[in-house]
Amino acid sequence: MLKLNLMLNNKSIQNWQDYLASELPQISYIIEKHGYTLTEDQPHIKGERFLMQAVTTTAGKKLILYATNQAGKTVVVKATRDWAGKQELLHERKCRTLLHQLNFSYDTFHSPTELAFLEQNKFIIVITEFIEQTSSFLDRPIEEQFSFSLTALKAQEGTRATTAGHIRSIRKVFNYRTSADYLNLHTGFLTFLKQNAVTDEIINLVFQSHEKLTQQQTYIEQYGGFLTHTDFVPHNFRIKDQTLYLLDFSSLQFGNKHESWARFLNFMTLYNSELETLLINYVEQNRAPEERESLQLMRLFRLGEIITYYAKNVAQSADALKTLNQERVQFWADVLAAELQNTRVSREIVTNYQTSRDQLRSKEEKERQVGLH
Amino acid sequence: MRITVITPLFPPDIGAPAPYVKTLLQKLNSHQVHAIIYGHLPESVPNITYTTIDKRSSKFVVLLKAIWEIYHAGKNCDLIIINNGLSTELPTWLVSYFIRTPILLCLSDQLAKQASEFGLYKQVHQLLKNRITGTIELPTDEKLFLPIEKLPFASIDDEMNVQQNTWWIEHVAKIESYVK
Repeated sequence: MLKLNLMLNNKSIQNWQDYLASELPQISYIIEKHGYTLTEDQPHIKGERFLMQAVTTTAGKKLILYATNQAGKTVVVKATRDWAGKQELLHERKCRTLLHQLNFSYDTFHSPTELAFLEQNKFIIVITEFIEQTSSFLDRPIEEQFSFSLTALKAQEGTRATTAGHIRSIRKVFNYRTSADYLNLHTGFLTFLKQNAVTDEIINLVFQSHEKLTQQQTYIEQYGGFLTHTDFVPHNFRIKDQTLYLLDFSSLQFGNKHESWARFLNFMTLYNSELETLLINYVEQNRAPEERESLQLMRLFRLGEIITYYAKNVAQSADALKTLNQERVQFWADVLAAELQNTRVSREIVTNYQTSRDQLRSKEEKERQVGLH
Repeated sequence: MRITVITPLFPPDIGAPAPYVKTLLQKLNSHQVHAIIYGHLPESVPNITYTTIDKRSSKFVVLLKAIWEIYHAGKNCDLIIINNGLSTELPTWLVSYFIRTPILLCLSDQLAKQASEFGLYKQVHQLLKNRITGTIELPTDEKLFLPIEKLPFASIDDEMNVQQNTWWIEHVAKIESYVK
């Protein structure tokens, strides 16, 4: 078994390295003709990047690289010649364009300026402005973190498709998730976990959340039809001059508005529990009780998703990385157990997990994480 | 007093009219209030009954259902409060020929108000205005009537709280004065 795992991990790494070796020279060649040069250090291709694949979106293979223009200014290069990757880049572009045109949107998002869109040698390459920020999100004072996150979450709530006309206009471009879709996806998580040798305790926790999601489906439906970012975490936005820029438009979809809240709060469980508490208190003090229920349900849904994600990674990894992924599965199961009781996971569990994670992370992954959030 | 409130927007919908109408229903809860809400699954308000008109249906179905609901709720109440918007104003105008209940038009949606200055909506708006008992326009400063958020790093603005309470007392009194 160990040998098989090792082979799987080595194969995944080797595939990733082969992929980089074949793509990078060609991308470099194409963009150089347009006056851009790839920088030497490329943080987004290091560490565990080779394992990353979203669970609930059809993420394609693509590279996110840094380059400089002729004036020495940093730019971001997204490049792919993989079919799904191309669809993702085109989709992201369509989302960005449509979002600025919607006549029922109360707020608009800021996005980095697109500098070039290249279709060459079977590649699609999108070059955008790099948003320089003075400090990462988590290094900012808690007041600023709260204010920026609430503003960004409210901006997503500012767009809701409620009429048949609204739904028609967005369905061509955006994914539209109903409460039944969330339940179907969650059934998929549960089935995967049952089939992949996760402990009975974890399966039972995910089953309990499934029961709760089913019983309270109306709350999920009630807050549906909103624009929501399925990967709303600090590494997907940057702040410059008090303006928040959204970097990843491909993760935007219409669905329960707490999907982005839930992703953000689950992330903050690990990285900043004070902000998590502040945001939950905000909802409890300012929003309807049904809304608090909906938020809780989406947290359960997203915890099921992240447990499934890491359980999949366990199967594709070996050695320290395999142990780390197993620890991750257990950690998020602990978070799920607490959330099922509508309490927060103990700080001791978080600290123990963080210590263990930092010991098990590779040097390259540690480098990739620097300043990421 | 039996009051029917018709609104094109209600939480979880967004936009200022939605939280305004929800607060209005809370403030009117000493009366027997029925709300006709354009929406799918509105947030609940204690002691208020409501019917919904699903906006995801075709415009024709929405119109027919609205006429039916407004007629049946409106004929047996003491006051109809209609929040502005073409989708609410058109059926209310049609129903107004068949009921004698006073109708109060509340201009709670600034965007709809702007839209009522043009095209078909302008015609409907004018026709409805000829049939109603009165019009109430909300202040442009939404802080005066929308719920004040409780934020962790901000102090409570007591002065604004007092201003809001005063505004709402006067607003509800003004609404009640339209009942014959």
